[in-house]
Amino acid sequence: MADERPTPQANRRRFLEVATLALGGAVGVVLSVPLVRYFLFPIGRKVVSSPDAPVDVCALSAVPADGRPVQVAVVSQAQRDAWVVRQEVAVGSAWVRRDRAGKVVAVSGQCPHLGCAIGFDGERFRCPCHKSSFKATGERESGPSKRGLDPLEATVKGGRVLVRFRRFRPDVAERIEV
Amino acid sequence: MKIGDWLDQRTGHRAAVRWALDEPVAGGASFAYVFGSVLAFLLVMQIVTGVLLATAYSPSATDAWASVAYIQDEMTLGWFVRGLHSHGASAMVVVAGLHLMQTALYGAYRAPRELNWWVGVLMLGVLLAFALTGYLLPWDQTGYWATKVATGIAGTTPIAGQAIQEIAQGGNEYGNLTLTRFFALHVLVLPGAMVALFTLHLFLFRRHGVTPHWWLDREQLEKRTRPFWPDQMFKDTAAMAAVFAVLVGINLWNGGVALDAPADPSTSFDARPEWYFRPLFQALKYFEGPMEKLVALGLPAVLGGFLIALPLIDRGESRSPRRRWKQLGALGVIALLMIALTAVSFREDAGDPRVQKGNHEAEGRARLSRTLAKMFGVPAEGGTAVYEQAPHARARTLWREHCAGCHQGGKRQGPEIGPGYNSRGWIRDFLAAPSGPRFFGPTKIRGMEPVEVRGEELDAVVELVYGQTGAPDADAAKVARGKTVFADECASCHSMDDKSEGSAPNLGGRGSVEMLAGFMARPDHPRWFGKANEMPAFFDDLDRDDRRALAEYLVMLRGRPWH
Repeated sequence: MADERPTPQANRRRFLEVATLALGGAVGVVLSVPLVRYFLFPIGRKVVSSPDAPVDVCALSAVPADGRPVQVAVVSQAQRDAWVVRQEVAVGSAWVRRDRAGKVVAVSGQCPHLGCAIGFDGERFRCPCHKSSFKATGERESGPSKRGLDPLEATVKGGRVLVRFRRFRPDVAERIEV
Repeated sequence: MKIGDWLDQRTGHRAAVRWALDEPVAGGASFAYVFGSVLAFLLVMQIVTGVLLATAYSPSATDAWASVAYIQDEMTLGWFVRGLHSHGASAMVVVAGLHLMQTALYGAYRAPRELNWWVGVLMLGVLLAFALTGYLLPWDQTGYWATKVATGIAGTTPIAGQAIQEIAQGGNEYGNLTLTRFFALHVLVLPGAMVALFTLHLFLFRRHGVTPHWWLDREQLEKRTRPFWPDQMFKDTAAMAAVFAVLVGINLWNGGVALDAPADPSTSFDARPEWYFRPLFQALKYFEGPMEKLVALGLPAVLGGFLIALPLIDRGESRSPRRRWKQLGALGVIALLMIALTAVSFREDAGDPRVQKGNHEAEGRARLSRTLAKMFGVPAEGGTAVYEQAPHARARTLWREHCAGCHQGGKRQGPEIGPGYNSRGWIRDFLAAPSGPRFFGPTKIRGMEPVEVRGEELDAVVELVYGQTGAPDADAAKVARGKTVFADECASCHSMDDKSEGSAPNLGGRGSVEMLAGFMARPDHPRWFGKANEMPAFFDDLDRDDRRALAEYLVMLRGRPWH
């Protein structure tokens, strides 16, 4: 019967192979851990942020009495974008109108479908990207959007309209703030 | 069918792997041959860490520093990744030097391997170009000023110098184009060149095989031949692991690498290049004028030329170092000289109090700018605008310009005004010695005697005066008591309302923002010091906004400890 015990050379070779792979693997793992953690930094982090406070968007007199919505730019005073802090930055748009009771209300200008800027055609809100349409009240009418326009907190102070701009997750039925 | 078989049928990968691993190493595996592989590992590490840094770095003169500060101080383990990249560059220079010395010692530049040697010398050049271009990218004081010297030297090249400098720095001055060019070089051109040269280097190496130990004859070499895998690969991996461990150790020990304050073209900054450029930096100190220019360009040229010439000036049969002592000796002397120059350079800096002071100040600036960036962000103008984020930044500048000379320090000409001004402690000390050296002593004002009340009555008066500043924590009961004491002890000279004029300053609202802003404009107003006034009136020099900013700054100082 042939001697089936591995030769010393074969043993030595095997040892070197395993040791090389183990050492190399160890270096790879130790190197990867901090690099992967660094790469995953943005997950769950508010890298771009602006103060929560309501922003002055227009004069009260600019909101038509007949309930027609007007578009306003939401300009943040201190937007933090990674390392920079910017003054006077437009962070989004909103539509402001008077409701049936005459109270000033606002909706986000961002389409809840995939985030395009919506327009108003005189009768209803329409999104140019995928043709979602919403009633003048913001209620969902037709198209791919899964929910109506997102309402924003609007207050009136000293003849000015202030809006608290918030962002919500796109393409879901539930209104979840991001 | 196993996956391995499926893949091999389509790609023939097994043959490729066998070609790569079955290389016979004549004379056996040796630690002498590991340096090339270690360099390859470090190159891969540099590329990976470089890509990760590039996902967060912005190559614009406005944003560069802020983005690096963000990586360094806010991103998860950003300091570690940047530190690995920077220390990795140093490691590559060291290992490249070792690789060069080993291959030279072994005569690996002898025929038929001359070309491979030259490719290696080119790779060394690319490595140094990497280091140079990378050093500028953070756009901090060190990187900015050190690279300015380097492009300045390039500009002294005869005939084409001006053009070379303008191409390198993207114009007449350092600015946005400098950074974009250096970035493109560092991230696109040089990596491409390095990979291409490396491929050529590997191909030529495999074609001729390793240059084995010179002391073994043909028969011994054959007998001791071992396969690359696993014998040599094991030694290579062990060396890689050791170098990596040292690198990580150094990185952890030093907490990454330094980031200086943002580049400030208006300052003069005594910058140092990276340690491996110190030999040239030091050598240039020994020459002046046109000789200095000659050495700056000539020394690298001569060194490079010598390396390139080696295969041509060292030809022969034997690779024994004894027969080649002249050429190897020259190489050894050059290496020792460079090490010596580096050591001298560091030693000189360590022993120079001016340099040490400069370093200390630079560290302070770096700490300040990085803290401000992290807390408040960097304004859109970028770089040095970060200092404006400091609370009362404008007021501090105005104070330094207009007020500190008289109100702080040894050459004071007025009352001491600084941290703790108008705090209870300051007021108490003033009442105890109004003409003392810390208050009206340096002036000619001698009209007020030390206040004689003690105990609770003194506390009450102090609280009354303290309350006039508008401090929200003034004790109302004490203030009320203080009014009584004031009426008995102080009212004969001082009024405390909003308009009376008299022989002593009206203490109404004294130390409040409004009072201070008004006082600065006209300290000689009869409400305050009138004819006894010695302080300049700042009505013309400081506008309302400036005075208000200063007043707010002084009110803030009230909350600081008074010693």
